[in-house]
Amino acid sequence: LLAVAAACVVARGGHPGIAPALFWAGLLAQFVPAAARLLNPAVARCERMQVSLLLGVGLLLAHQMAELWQFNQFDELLHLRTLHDIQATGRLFTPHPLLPVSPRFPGLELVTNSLVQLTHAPDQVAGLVVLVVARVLLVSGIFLLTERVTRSSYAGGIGVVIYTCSPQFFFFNAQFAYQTLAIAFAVLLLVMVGRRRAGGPAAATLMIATGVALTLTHHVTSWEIVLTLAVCAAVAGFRGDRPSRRHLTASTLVGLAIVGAWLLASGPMLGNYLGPVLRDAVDQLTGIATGGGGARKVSTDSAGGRTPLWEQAFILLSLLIWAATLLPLRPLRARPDPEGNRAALYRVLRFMHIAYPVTLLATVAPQAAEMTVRLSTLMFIGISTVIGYATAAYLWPRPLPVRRMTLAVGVVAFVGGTMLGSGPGWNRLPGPYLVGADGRAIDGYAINAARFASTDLPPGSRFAADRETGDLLAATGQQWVVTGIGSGVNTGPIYFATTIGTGERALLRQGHIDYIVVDSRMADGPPHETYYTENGEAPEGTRLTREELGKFDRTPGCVRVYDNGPIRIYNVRALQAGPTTSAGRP
Amino acid sequence: VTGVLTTVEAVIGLAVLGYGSALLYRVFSRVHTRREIHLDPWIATALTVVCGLMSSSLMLGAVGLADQPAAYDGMFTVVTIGLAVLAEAGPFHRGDGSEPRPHAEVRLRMLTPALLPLLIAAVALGIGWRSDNARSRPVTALAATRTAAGIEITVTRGSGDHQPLTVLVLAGGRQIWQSGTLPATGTANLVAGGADAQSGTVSVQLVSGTRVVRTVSTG
Repeated sequence: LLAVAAACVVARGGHPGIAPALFWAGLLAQFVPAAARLLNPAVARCERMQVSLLLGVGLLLAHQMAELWQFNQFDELLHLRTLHDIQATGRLFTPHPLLPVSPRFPGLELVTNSLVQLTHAPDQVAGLVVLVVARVLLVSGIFLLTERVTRSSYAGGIGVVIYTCSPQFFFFNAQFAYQTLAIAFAVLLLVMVGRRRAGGPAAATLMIATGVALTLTHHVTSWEIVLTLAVCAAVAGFRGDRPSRRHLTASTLVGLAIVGAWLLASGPMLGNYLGPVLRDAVDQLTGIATGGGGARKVSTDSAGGRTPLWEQAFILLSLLIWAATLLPLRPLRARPDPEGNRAALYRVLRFMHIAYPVTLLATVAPQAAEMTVRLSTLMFIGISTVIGYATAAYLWPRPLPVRRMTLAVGVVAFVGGTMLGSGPGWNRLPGPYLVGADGRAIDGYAINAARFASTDLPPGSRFAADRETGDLLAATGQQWVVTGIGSGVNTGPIYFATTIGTGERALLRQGHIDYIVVDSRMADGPPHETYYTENGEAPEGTRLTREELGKFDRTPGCVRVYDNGPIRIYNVRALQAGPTTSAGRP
Repeated sequence: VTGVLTTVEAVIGLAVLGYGSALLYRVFSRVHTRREIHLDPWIATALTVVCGLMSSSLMLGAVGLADQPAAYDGMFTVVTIGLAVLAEAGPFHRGDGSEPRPHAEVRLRMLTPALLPLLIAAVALGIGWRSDNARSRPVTALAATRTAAGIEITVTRGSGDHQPLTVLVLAGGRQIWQSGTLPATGTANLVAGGADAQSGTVSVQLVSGTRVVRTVSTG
């Protein structure tokens, strides 16, 4: 943790060469000793659990080190907005300008809000505590699931090591976002389902409570778990195991009822959110298959930044390692002999293991790649259990050199998986401003502009803004940022026009836009996250120019009310035809 | 007074949460409950606490009280009393905390090896927080708005910005108002009055010597 903290300090100071070295040294200083201990068969169960938790929580804190003062990843700010809405109104389901489905799945925010109200802790502290608890639940869940299914705590510890190598573990599932908490619930549900026999009222109550919590927290994860339960029930039926089939079918039906009820309540909103994502993924894959679409360039980001060759090598090697686990090699053939529900569950986990390398084929298309990487969160539960047991069975009688070799393979898988999941190098560490680069675009200027909006402008004013500043304005500035998904108006084209003409005025009018935020640094280069504002702003690859951004100073009726150098805020109400929205505003 | 009340409320909230969790742990440590749920008691406790926190905000949010700390204190106190009653009934597992605890000296000896890593982690988190907190430092900024009193101008001094700064107000290209040299730190709130400032487009400039550092206007 000290090394990672030093890496953050050095990276902020603009020393890109030393910072990554310190960062990786810090991560490996956590991973290597913990993995070595967990690969040692002589360690007691209690210590295995403790080391697993240390590893999981340590990596979480390492990820959070870059944003301890304030969450600054795009998704985190979206959820911060939902939290602030609950705190401001005392109610749920307040409309969200950027992620309309978020208030419908407020589990993470509800837990954080309760902690804030009970302890008066700042949102950031409460959020961090919730993340740590979620990580503890996830890691203990992975440990227990592997242990219960394989009847080996040694395999449980190795299962945790394998799960830490999954692409989403270090980065995405350590964010203040709904999936982080949901995946912990999901794994613990599988642990509870994996009992040898049906439980009594206490077990049923805990399962239903966890199922409801999961449903309230994250849509896709709850569906995945219901689907997993349904397949488990089918497998039990196929095996002729009637008690397990009955129990698993009952669990599936209860899960289906909970998830279905919530789906009915938020169906259209979810359709609007997930529909375009699925459509884009299918279109891109179809285009690539028929030769009509461009495949994703794995080694470059949208700004043209290349992933270093050594990073590409690690990513490729890690993927090859997981693909190689499908080979019919003797060390990988060991299978546990679970009974009852666990037998069905183990078979489904094996299916997940087999499916993971297949899903990697979809990474050639950008949208499908994002879905695939997110799916790896679930798939790796299967890999952890299946390969955790096979590795444990193989290593149990082996001498130290073999364990060291296994550890070396683990290090490659961990580094490659973490690189794959965290994206380009600039995304892992803080540093100077980069155009359209998620947390790296949220610097002191953006924070101060959002602070001004929060204190000096009426809350709920309607803004047009770039992707990152808009996210911050919505989360901490308490403003309504107009976007296609939240308001039905894509304000991106306003930025790309050379003058404010009829079309731009029409957009301002449709979006009832009060203010426009202009970060002049957007003209410094292409965005690192594909768009300056949002999808559909301009043909992909189009760059913003200084002239385009400077038009707001040349247009009569466009009043600059705030200027901190790079970021300026303009009042554009006068550009809307018709009456202004409110008098007396600055 | 508000600070004291907030602190008292926070202490009560923490105590209720901590005591409630301890009681839950006792309940989950019962022999038959433990066997039934098939989870380690501490995991079941953590899971239940998270579900409890979620459901409390959900219920209070349904009636528009999710922002009322007192409502949470009341709700959790009632739940904790209920748990206290529940926890007293029934036999407990041997590992429920009722067995004799190790002597204080032994506990201290067991704790000592954990202190150093915890201390290092705390130092690391402190360094990380301090480094990230640098993002919150103010940057030099200018804002203005027209009110009945005149033009209200806010100048924020950037951290480490020590250049001499003054504010000019111009109407129709003509200077109508000038401030004195602004303080070297903090935020300055100024009002530029006068009839010329009450109508038309007025430009407000933050200048250092002859160089214009920031500009805003009022429509």
